[in-house]
Amino acid sequence: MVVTTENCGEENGDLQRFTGDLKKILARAPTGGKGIFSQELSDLLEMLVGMLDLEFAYVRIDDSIGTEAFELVRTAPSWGAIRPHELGCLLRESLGQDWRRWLSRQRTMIAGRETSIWCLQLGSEGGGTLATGSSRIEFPKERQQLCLSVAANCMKVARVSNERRRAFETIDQEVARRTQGIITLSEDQRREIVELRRVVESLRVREIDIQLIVDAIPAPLAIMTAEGEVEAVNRPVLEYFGNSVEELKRWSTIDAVHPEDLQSTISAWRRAVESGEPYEVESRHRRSDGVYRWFHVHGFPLRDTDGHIVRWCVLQIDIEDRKRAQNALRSSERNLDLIINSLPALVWSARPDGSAEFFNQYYLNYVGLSLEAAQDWGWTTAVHRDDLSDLAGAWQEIMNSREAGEKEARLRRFDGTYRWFLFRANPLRDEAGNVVRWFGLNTDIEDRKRAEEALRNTQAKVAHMARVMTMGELTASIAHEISQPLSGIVTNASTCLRMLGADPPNAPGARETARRTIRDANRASAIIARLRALFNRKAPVSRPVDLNEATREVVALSLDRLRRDGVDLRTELSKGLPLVLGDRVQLQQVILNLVQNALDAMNAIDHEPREMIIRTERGESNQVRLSIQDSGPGFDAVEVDRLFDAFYTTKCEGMGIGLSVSRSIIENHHGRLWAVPNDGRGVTFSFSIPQNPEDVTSEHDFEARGSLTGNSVERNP
Amino acid sequence: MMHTLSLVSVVDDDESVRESLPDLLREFGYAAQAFSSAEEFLSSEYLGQTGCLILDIAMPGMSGPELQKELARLRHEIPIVFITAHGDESTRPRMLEQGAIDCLSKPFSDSALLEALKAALGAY
Repeated sequence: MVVTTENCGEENGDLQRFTGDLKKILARAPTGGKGIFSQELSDLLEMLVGMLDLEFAYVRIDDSIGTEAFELVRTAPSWGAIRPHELGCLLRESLGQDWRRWLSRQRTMIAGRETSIWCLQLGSEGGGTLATGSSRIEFPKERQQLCLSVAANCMKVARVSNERRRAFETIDQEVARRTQGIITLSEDQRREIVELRRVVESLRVREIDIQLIVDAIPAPLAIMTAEGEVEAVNRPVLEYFGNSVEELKRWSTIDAVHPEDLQSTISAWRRAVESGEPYEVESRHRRSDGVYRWFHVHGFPLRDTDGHIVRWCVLQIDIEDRKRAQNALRSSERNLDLIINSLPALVWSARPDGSAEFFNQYYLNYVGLSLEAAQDWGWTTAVHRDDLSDLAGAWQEIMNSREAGEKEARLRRFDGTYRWFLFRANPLRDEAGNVVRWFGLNTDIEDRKRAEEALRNTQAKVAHMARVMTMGELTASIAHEISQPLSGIVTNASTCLRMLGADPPNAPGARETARRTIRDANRASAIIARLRALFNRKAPVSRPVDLNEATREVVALSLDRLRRDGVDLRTELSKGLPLVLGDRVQLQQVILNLVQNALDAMNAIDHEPREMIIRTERGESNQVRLSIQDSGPGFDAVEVDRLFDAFYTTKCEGMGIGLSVSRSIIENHHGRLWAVPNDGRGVTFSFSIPQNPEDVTSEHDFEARGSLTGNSVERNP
Repeated sequence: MMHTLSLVSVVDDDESVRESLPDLLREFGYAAQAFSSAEEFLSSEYLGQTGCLILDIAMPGMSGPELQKELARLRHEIPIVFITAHGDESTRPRMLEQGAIDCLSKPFSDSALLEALKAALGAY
């Protein structure tokens, strides 16, 4: 049986460096912010090249919002300067034209150099790729892989948020432009008509010379008799048509009005004369040079004091520019429709009461609903049941606030799969600030969600590794502290024996050395007391702990070694295992220590299979038991009793601290740690601790029984 | 009892070693002197008389291996037995490679020490 302490120093150093590297990468994670995204990526690449001793780091980002792809590269000094596009071409030559299909790992010639390449895709639908190269044949080692994966995750998150931000900007700009255009045009025209009419009507009251009236008006204007004959026109009319008043009296026959508009103009005019009501019509009038321009014609009656119609006043307002703008707008609206319908995002609009009125084609295709089915509140059928009430609440809050807002929820795709979306709504307001419509955009954030989750997992793993690592450090420091007085004890005791064995015995000398032995032993106890105080200061945190979950994490931390040692690991984690009350980290230190002991023990065997079984089960009297069985050389009965003594070890280099500390941890948990030789080969170490009195069982019981094959740790058939 | 007592010098910053080891060495039949640092040993009159040096590896100031180099530079060819409280498996082979007679991890047994001394003084 063996106990760990050797090599702790070196391995801890490596781990700390590695943890430090990961922290540096996370600190440099790009934000995808406006205008700084590519700089952020460059900085990160630069850091990776230095940190991981790479020949080059190359990134290509494609984005779906229409901008072209961009490429960045950073190289080691030995490579010299190379343009991103050049390297991109070289990579495509070696790895294949379609970068989405580059193999994740291969060794090949790049620019005449034998290079190990490692590629990571930045998104499941070809958002980009990170390719790194090194001349070393073993590149990438596991830690380099983890560093690069973390960096790629950071890039992935930043790419998605960068893309999302730009999609919002495009939509916001289009909506603002369109709204502004509509408001400006109708406003101007309305103001003009009101003003002219006011002027004319104020003049009418004085019943003065008609010509005076018409000349006072700056816009083209005609005065007609009550019967509908042209009586007078002002200068702008004469100048525009280039006809005399006499000719204009026959306006309906001289092509003054565009033939296509003539009939509607005449009939509108007749109706007005018959009814005595004002009329409005839009028609094209021929200018003196033969060019037709659009006019808005507004005719209204002028009455005498008795209310009889005495004249008609006909205002003609040139709306050619407005018409052109309208046409342009219509075509730009068509463009906008095109953009909206082809945007790879779900675009919608809703009425002020929150009911939906429009969905772009992409949206309808995505959820597999018709416009009729999705309208009003029909779209909610595609929202994940668990997210619906939160989404409805958020939507109500956004409407109440009358400000832009957003909420994440899962949407069902036509094929039944749910993906995470960010629902975002922007209000369109009238002049008074009332919301007249909501414009919305739902962006697929599934990739981002996944990337975030992966990042969180990695961070948690790193943090956890750092905590469990302290076990090794602690063990090494205890070993050193204790060995000093221990050395004195051994030497003094040896001297004492020799003095007593001399002829004649040297009694005074023996007494002195025995006294020193006791003193050094007391010194050792004092050190232990100090260490114990150190332990106690970090009082164990008692919380319900799922031993199955804790075991899985320890196994995950040990995968590397399991694979290296060629050990076949089987886990038999009992379903519905009660939770225990204790300090998760301390218990994991114990499990890790037992796993490492078993691995060390099996290192001694070469020709037999190396097998380890980790088992959890209910023990007697409300205890939960965890056992680790190895197929090592085992030990004899005498040794069993001494196994847990501090400093006892059968391993030549070990100090015997790990098991005694493990046992004191278990005893602090009111439990027991013991070892039993197996019937066949090897030993089984077990501990049992009381279950949590609350009697809650483990929540995660998936994969309760199984073997680890995913990471090359394979179980014999 | 040997005719001429071989002098074994102990250099260690740990007081209990300086106190206990010379007594054991005397029981073995050697003359013994203890020094608390490499510097103290280098400046002492016993430097030239020492037949074997028991030397701690990690000490404040000049370390054991540094003292070993200094002695070689001064052409004092004293056989060295290193002792250390850092139980690192890579230490012993490294020390042997650099010319030490032996390297003992604390705590060490009296017989292991005696073996090493015999080897050292026999080799002298």
